[in-house]
Amino acid sequence: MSGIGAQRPQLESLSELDRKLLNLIQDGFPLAHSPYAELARDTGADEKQVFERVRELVRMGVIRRIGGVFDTRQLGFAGTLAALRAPRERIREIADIVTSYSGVSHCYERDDAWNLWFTLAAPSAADIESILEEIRARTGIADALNLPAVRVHKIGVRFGIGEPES
Amino acid sequence: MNLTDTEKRIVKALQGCIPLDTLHPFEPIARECGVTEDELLDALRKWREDGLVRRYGAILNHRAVGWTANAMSIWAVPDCDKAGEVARELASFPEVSHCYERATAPDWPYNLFAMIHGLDRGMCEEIAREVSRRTGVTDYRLLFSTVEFKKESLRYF
Repeated sequence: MSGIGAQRPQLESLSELDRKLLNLIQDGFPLAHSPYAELARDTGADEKQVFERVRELVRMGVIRRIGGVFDTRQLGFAGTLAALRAPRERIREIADIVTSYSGVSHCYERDDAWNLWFTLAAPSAADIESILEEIRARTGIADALNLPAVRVHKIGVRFGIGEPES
Repeated sequence: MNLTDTEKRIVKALQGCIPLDTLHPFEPIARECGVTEDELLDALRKWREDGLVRRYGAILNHRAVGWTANAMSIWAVPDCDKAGEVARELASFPEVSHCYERATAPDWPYNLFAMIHGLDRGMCEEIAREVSRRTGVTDYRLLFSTVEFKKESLRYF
């Protein structure tokens, strides 16, 4: 759990190599026997240095994970975006209930009457509905928005890592 | 999509993080899945081409690198073609992600959603204003996130 405003950007502590690496490996980590050697070629650094920097960036928490992002639907799962109107004084309690489900990957408080938003994936739409029903029962909140996607336009984002403001 | 047991093992191995204690991270993953490194990398490349793997790379903690504003923009665009036009304008910004048309509900008319990331709230607002200006769609709002309760990658298998 984290208050958005409480996180301090660590931009200043990133070296030029760090920035190059972050910009490169967001788009793709080399699918090769020696991925760090390939990154070394692309950045002009040496393999060991690149390896150390990537590990450090993970340790710092700048990189959450290096791995695969799958298309949930193509894997055969159903997904939705859901929301609740949680009374302010109960929001943590309600968030704990919602986030206890492994199919809930993202859960945020947002500034609106519908203040608790979460993504939910499950084997089928019927399973999604039954999880939402369970959440409604456990929280005592009768109304939930269930907003499955009908068309996908764009998913990925790229965070350009630039020079820190001087 | 019907995956074989081996393919499910591969998805399970790749949905996490690569081992960070070796210069050759795909080797132990392949061993764990009972395939050769070449077979693993071939599967991964094919899945990336087919779109089953949307991306294979570093997932950043964007707040740690200055992208502290996170807005869910919601747009009420009842006309289908117009929704497509707004979506295209939104998608043209690299700071915009997860642009979906979604079902509506009795007290929820917003059918187009897009995440807008920014170095600050102003940046998010500017992008939304620009999209509104270009498309003429004015019925939109930005819902900023205030608390992150959970943010994880899905574990499929």
